[in-house]
Amino acid sequence: MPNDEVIRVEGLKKSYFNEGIETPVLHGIDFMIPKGQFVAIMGPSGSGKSTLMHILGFLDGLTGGKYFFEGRDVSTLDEDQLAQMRGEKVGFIFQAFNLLPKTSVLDNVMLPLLYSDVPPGKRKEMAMLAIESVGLGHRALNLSNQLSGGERQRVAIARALIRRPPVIFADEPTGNLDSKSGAQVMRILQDLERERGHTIILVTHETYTAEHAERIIKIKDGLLVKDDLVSKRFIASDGDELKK
Amino acid sequence: MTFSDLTQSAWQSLRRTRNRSLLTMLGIVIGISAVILAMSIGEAAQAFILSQLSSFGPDKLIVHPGPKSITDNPSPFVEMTLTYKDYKRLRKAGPWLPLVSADLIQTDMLMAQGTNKNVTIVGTTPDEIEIGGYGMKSGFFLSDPDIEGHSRVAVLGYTLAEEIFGQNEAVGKSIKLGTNSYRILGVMNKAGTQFFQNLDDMVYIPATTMMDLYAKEHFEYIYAKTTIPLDEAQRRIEEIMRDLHNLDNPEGDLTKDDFFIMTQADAVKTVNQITSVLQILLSSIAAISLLVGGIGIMNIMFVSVTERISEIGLRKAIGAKFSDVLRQFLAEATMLTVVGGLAGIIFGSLVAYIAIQIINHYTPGWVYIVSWRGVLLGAGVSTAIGLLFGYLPARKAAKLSPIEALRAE
Repeated sequence: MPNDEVIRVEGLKKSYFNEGIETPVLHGIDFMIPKGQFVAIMGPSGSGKSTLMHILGFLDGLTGGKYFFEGRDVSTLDEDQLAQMRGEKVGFIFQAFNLLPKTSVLDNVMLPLLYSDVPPGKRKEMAMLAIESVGLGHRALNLSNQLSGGERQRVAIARALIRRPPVIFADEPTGNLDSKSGAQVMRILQDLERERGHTIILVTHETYTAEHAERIIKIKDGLLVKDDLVSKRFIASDGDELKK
Repeated sequence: MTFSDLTQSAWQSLRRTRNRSLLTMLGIVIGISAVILAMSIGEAAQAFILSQLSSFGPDKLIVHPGPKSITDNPSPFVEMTLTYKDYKRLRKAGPWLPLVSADLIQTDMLMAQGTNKNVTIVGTTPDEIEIGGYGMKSGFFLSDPDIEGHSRVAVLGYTLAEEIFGQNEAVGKSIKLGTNSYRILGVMNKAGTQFFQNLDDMVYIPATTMMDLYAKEHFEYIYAKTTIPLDEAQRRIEEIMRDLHNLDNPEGDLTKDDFFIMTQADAVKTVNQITSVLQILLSSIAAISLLVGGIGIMNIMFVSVTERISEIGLRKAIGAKFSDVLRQFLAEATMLTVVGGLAGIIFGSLVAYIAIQIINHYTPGWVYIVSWRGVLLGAGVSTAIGLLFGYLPARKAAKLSPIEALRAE
């Protein structure tokens, strides 16, 4: 394995079974993602891009092919080991933010540490660092439902970052945001890649959003149809607005 | 996850749905309150009854008429068999039986100083006051010559004397019981209630006088104090009584006798039997309400799992294992029941305390006791209910696939 490889899939297949009827979703996909790359996975709805992200994020199993994460064959891992991988190796950002309601920003961000070995005494400090890194230090004690959509998504980013996972998955992170907040979120994701070396995997159906990435993988009907480096990458800065 | 993580996280979750958590808890609060109430009142009743038997000391025996029934309890339809001759013989039994008193009871109208009152009259003998451990406020108790002479003399209970004569001296004055006059020999000190009778409200006259005037031949019981072990004293009294009553019963079959002897141990046994049946009955009713409360917990936890599918998905996505989710939901259910149980213990004790004050108002002698058995049982049962009824919902939550759980949004 090359030294900088994080994710490699070979002939990845996924089918769902419902009452004995097989519905294939992914038909055999191959690619490799090196460390520190910002990759967008694009495709129309029903293309299988979300399923692909779930498999890459250890949320779902595969039915055929191989998936290696940092050189480790994921199909050999049991449920508890997968849970551990989810906790240590990846962070998720969802379209709907998925914050705990009526719970402070601080407690939301600390949540992943509950399932880690981090001693309780150090958790608050780590969470505050993560919250400050997304510019919400002054909101740490607010309840999640007192925040705007953009602020909520930034809390979710802080939560994804807190265990410093090598890979961050963002599933339509700007889908529920206005264009200005969306741009802010994209800038934070780019900073994570450029300044901190996180590997970012963005799932989107919007071309404009995808152009913030340095590489775009297009999925259609369960097949990889295009895998290109972006020629004219858009670098977000404050004051930008996302085109919708 | 550490234990404190678990409790903190459960506490936060329950607070997010505060009203519902409180309502769910109410079932447990009521159930545990009912258990505590049942046990506290049961134990207080037991203590009250035992205190009523306290004059029945460890060195005292009571001879009752009639054979000992198979059911262990005296029957009200027994033939009266205890005679004046039995009393005289037992009184001369020897130094092992120093005090013997024989009693019979009658109610009649008392008239004195313008007071007319229906009273309980005890026809008794001189040793009564010493066996019972009562004292005299003034004057004297009945003496042997009063018994021998069938004298028309009386001793008044403390409250009764106060009621009739107020602060004035009663000794030497006369009272009328029915149509007969009696000279007052003395007034007793406060003796309280014994065997559920208020001793301070009674009149004591010589047993022989009562037998004459009320046409009675038999005592209702003979009361004795011994200096030797009870079982030996009981055996000796049985022998004497069989001899007196011409009973041929060498094998000591108690059902063949026309009397039976009760000791403190017998009385306590009977009381404990009755009160434990009472407690089982009350606790079973309480147990049903706990069952209903437990099902309520299970129901609400299932609702909670369904409502929080996406939260469960999120927790799994950030690294929670099957066991983490299982423990979290179990902790929530158990916290509901334990907090509910503690509230129930406090509330139930409070209600028991108030109830006993009210009972005490009507029947003096009841004392509130914290039922430690009830507290331990309540705490144990509420924890067990949380674990038991919380398990299925918690397992359902823990088994959710993270993907399905996230998609539910």
